[in-house]
Amino acid sequence: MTKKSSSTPAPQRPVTDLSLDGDVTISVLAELRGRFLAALEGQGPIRVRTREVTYLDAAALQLIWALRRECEMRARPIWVETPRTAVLKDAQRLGMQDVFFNPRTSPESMP
Amino acid sequence: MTIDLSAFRSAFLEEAREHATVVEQGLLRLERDPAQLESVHEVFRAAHSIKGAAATLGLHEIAQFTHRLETILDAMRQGTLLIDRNRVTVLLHATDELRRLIQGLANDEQLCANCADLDALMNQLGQITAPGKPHRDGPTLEAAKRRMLTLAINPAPRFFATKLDPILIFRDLESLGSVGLVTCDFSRVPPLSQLDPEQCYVSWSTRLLSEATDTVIVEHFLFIADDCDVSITEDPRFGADIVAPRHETVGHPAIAQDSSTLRVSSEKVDAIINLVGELVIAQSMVMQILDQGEAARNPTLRDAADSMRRNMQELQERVMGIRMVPISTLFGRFSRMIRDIAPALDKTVELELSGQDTEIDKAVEERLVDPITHLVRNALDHGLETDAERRALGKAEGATIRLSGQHVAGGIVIEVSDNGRGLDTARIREQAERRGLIGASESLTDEEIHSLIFEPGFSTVSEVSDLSGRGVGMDVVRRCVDAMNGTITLLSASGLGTTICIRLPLTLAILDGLLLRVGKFTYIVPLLSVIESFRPLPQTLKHVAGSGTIALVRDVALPLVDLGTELGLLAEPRDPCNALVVVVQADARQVGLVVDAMIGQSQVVVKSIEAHYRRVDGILGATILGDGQVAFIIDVAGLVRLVWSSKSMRRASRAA
Repeated sequence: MTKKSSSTPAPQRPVTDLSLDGDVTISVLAELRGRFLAALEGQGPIRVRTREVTYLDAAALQLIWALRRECEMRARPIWVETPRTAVLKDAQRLGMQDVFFNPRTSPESMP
Repeated sequence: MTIDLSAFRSAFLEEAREHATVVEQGLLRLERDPAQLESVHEVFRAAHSIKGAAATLGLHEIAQFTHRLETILDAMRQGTLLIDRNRVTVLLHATDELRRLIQGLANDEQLCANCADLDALMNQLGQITAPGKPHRDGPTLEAAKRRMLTLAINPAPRFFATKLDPILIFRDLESLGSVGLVTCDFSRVPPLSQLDPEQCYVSWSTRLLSEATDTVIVEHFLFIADDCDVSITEDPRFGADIVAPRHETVGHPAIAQDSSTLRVSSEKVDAIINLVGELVIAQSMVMQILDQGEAARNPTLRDAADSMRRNMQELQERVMGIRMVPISTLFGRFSRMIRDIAPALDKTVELELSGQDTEIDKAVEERLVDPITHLVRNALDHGLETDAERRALGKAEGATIRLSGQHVAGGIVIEVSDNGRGLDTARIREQAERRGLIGASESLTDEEIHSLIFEPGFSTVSEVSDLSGRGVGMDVVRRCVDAMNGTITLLSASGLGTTICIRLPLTLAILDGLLLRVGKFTYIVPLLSVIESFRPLPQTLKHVAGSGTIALVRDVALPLVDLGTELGLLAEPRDPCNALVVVVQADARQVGLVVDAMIGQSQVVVKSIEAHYRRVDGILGATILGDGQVAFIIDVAGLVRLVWSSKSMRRASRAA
């Protein structure tokens, strides 16, 4: 009989952290896009830290959404931290809250 | 001639329960998004159907009560009564009362048994729309001018570069009236490598319930007019009577149905499934006879049997499909639960649902109600922090409970997650040591410690609440899952939350099994539990005092269980080197079953032993094989747990 699955756990892959803070607006997005593209060059899960963010404008949300979709297309696990309530509420106002939707509870539980 | 309407009562009860669920779910949607016109109409239609059918059957208490409910919903649908949380709360209580009335009827109780409660609620409903009371949320004339508008905002690519922030536009929009859910269209966003972050690729749409004139609304968007295409259209249906034609209640509305749908009792479907199961067994007997040489003598018979096998397979799949229901029927009930409980706990909790269209066997769905309810309540009560605690910890205020369902590898996976505090590993360990479940010096991984919460009576909660904390929950959850031949795993990270993952077969009626020979008998293990098989070498085996034998597989200790001795067929265990080891897994633990041989794989129809005899430990059920032989299905989860509950086995495993 062929083996169905491995009994030894897969080695833990390092998580690439992308930390954002303060007001993330259109003026910093060119640099941020560069960081996102660099992170995509690597391997393993990507975690976008947003807890220190005080404001995300629509252009920034659009950019994070593009990163999330890129990861999904490349089968790279991605986990976008839930931001502060005010930031989340603004994203909801724009109907862009899916940017923060993570199918898993934590980056450690990412497949 | 008189008609005996009692025959239609059961159909009414079934329909009324479904309509009550439609009312409840619709109200919860409206609370989140009052501008959802379709939901108002849907809720109204459901209430109207209950009223009509109840009146026909002479159930005047139900008809009268629903009439009150309907009056309020009518005002909401006409736009003369705004939908707010308080009104939704009263309407939800009314729905509960309606359910109690329906259940009372089902139990043949006096319908007005709790008249005081009913009267109080009727008064509450009456007050919302009483004549002379300001039930319209503004003067009649103004209310009549309230319109439902659909807004579509399509920015030009340069829009972001103008530094005009769309967040401000949507914030200001709230001053004009009730803004519905905003939908953002991301479909034009290019790949990241081609994306210019200063260009706008998204567009938005929403609905606005407002009394503002066209001029005021156009002025609102004036400052972005050069960079955005804004279209405003009025929904002509708003306020109009677009309710489905009221059917005259002359016939029997309780059984009036959409002609494309047929309501059949689940007992009838079960009887058909059972018969199809018998046919599958008979068909495999025929195939076996043919395989034994009959086919060579009569090739036409072989062709006919093959055709029968194909049709039988399709018949089986289609019949099983009848029992399939979307998992939203299970998940739907938790919106209300969270809405009602979370505020009392000072917690703001959002319920996120995904994979709602995933189909699941109705029997599985029914048996999952209690375990999932327990998991959600546990998350609410213990898993999530209060709003104040979250603020103090610097976590996002809105706590989330997420329910997801998806089909994976011939089974279904249901996850219940929260983004709360995670399990307290030290506390669980301390409690387990105190209860003697583990030794003080025993070294366990976090995962192993967390799995101890599934032990009977285990609880680390010092105060028992109305919701949970009595330590009678998680073991019951696991037993429910085991009984369905499923597995449950838990992932928890301190401060980040907990995910409980339940893996179940798609159906309980049929099982993909691996047939094993032990002595002269055939046993079956569910294929989902099987990992691999091998014949061990003598140097890989170790004997552990008090716990039998272990085999070292890729440096990991695997406890061996001789099915022959375990099932009472042999007095002494065999030498595993002269037998075959089949590795099975449950609850992330593995055990090697020592058997004589593997016969093959087969899809088998599961027959309950419990229903005809009594529960037998270690046996999940039985089936009839193609040769007419009865074979028992091994309870892998029970067996694995029994083996690993031994402390000496855990020690031996670690030492290895």
